[in-house]
Amino acid sequence: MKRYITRISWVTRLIASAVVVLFSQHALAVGTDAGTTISNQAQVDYNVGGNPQTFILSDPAGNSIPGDALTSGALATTFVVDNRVDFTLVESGFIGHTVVTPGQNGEFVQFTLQNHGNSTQDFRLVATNLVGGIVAGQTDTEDMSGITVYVDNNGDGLTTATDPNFVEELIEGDSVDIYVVATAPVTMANGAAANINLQAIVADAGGPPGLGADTTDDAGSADTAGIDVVFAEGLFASGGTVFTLGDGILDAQDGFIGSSAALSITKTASLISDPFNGTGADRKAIPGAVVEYVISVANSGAEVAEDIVITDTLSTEITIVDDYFGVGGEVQIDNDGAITLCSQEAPDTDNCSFAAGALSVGADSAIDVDPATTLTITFRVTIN
Amino acid sequence: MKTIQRLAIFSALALFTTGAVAQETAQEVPTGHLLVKTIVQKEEVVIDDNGDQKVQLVDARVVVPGDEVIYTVTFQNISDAAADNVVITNPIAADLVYVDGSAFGPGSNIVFSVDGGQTFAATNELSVTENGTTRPAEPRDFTHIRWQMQNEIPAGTQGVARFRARLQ
Repeated sequence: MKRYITRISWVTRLIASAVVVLFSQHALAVGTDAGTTISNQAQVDYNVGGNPQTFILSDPAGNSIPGDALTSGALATTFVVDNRVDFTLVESGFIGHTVVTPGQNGEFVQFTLQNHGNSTQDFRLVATNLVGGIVAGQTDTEDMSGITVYVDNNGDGLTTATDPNFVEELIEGDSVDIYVVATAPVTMANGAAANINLQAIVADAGGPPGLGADTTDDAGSADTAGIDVVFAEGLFASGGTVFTLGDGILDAQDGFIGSSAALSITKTASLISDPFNGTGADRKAIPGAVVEYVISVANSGAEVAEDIVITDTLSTEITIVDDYFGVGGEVQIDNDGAITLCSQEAPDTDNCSFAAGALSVGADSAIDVDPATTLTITFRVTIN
Repeated sequence: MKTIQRLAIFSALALFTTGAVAQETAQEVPTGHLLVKTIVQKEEVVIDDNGDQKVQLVDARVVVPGDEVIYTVTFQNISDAAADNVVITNPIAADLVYVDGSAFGPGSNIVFSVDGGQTFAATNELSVTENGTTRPAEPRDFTHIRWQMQNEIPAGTQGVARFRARLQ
């Protein structure tokens, strides 16, 4: 039986964790503010019988009383500019999957939400693990835990406990960065992806501080005087040419990718000699024959595999060749060229132990296997 | 709010045709020769019973930036005398941009202003000076539209002036 344990250093921090500082960007307001009253009043001048008459102003219901608005009571023809909800939600900051080591927390994926509408809006945010599916070429096989949303309302580029998990009062044209922080599974495999979906739901601004209620489409009760809602998210993204009514909800995806050790282990047995044929070509695996075992642990991953322990259950029909590598040296440990020997004799503090018919290597002091290196354990036995 | 008063009076007259008090009040309101009305609408694509797309004008209930609205001014001669030299002047709201070529009015000569309604001229005669350079006026420069009716409006008849504008 073979067993290996990897534990990755918590201090490993990769370039991707460099904090990207982006402040809220101001852009030109997009369109006339919702709620603006647009007025129009025509004036008609005329003569009757060659004599100029007092002008008459228009009224939505018709007016025939001459004179100014005060005199005639004529009203302007008005409408109120309605709320065109339009926004974009895109991956930002480090583009591509954020690298995480197994169990790592504090890493984030970043999104930017920009309000292209004509009204200040709140946005409710929901971040979830995608189950399956491909994001940026990476197929989702892992799930993050402790997914937490931080909205960088203060523009400091940092995720702090006081950052809200919703977008508060984002004015027309402005954008804000959103960080989704999560913890990688402790077993996250090297190269495995955990994809994240962030959903933004437009919500009503104004009112007391805090997230407003989800904005609802009141097209059914639309009127000329009040502010109606038109869900046109995607209009800006399309270059203003496609006006497909939406639902005030947008999704964007990003993900984390595991950076871990990736170990493979092999064990080979070579017949060295037998008591009759020596090392000759006719040697046989008969009692008294010598067999050399080589256990190889290769790390093809990106991280150091730490605290490796290799356990090899030995047959009761074999006996370790004593002092094969010299006095007190029954097992050779070759860690990428760094060779140590260990012994089956007591005291058992030399990183090998032979307990209950099993060889255990690495129990007494840590063995780390660097990326792209191989740990080789060699010992010889005789067949009983 | 004399219009409201007056509407109320008409209602009263309809109910009490011999109402002396109401008649006296009505006589205090001077009435001109034309009934002038402005409505604002927008185009809406609807699917008719045959499944065909049809564009129709509806009330401008829902208007968001980028939408076009259509203003229609009607002027009905409600007097016994013909009105002549009828001129309709319509400002274009600051948040609206006139849609080029959209002004329409049967029997009218249409001119525009780029100076807040002080002077009017045909579109190709208007220019704007910005930062010391003069360029031909564009629709976004127009502040007012004026329809100069070429013919008199006989008693009992109605004229119409219309234009489109896009909400910025």
